[in-house]
Amino acid sequence: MLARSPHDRSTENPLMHTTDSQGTKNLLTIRGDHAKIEGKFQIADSIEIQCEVGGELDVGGKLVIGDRGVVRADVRTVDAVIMGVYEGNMIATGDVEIASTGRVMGNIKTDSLVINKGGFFNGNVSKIKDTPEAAAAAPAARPAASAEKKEESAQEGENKEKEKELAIPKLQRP
Amino acid sequence: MIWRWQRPPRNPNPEIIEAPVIIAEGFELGGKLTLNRPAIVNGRLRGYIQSTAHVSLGPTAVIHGDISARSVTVAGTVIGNVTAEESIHLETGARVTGDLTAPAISISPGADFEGDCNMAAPLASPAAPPVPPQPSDTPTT
Repeated sequence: MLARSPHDRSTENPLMHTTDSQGTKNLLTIRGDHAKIEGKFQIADSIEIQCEVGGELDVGGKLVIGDRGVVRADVRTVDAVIMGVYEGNMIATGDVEIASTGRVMGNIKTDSLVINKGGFFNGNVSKIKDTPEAAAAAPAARPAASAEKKEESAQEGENKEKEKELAIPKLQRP
Repeated sequence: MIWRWQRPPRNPNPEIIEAPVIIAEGFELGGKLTLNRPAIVNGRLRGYIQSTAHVSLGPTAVIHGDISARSVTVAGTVIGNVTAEESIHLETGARVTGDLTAPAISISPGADFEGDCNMAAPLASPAAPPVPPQPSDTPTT
């Protein structure tokens, strides 16, 4: 335990790895101090990033940006733990945690955000729950209201037409 | 009968112990609240709070308006912008809809926040003005 190498620090932090039922680590890690990768990544499970990544990330589990990780990407994920630098727009259906070493500049869409003391965040937080409901409710409410208005106006129109029908024959009489 | 010793609640900010409760639970106030000493708000306020000291909003506090203080701890509900010179802390159960501006902001698990989070130091210059480019292409002679 005492002779643990600095590269092995991920094992000290329970957030840094996920364990399956047998207790073995199964978190894919991209590591490399001077590595920079860019592109569109689809990760079905969780991932830990300890290098510079740009582009687009689609993570099916937990995204861990390590203290040496720099991510400049649009991210869709379930959970996220940010111990490094993140810039971009993130949509997280689960929990987002900005650790004390984390620096985030961008917008986060999540229902659960935690910022630890020392963590840095500049940007906007919006709810996921509100937007689909609001998006679903607002157009649903507006057409309903407008439909009622249409019905009313249609009825008024019909009445007016009836009035016209009643009125026009009188006018059209030679 | 068993006498059970209850541990006093741990207070991270010792100056709050002396802080008086300005609006108690169940009371509602409208208008501007100007403070220069640490204070606790547990009631409802429609208006805004301006303080040169720490402001603590209890779990029952409901503030409709902006808050500006040295430091703010929120455990209740705020609908409005919160600005602090030093720090803002949202405790578990806090509900904030509005913008947070402070050099240090922390959000506990279970706190509900929606809005902008601005951690750039409000007093510090946001960015150094760009240095005018030196006319390097001009002849030095």
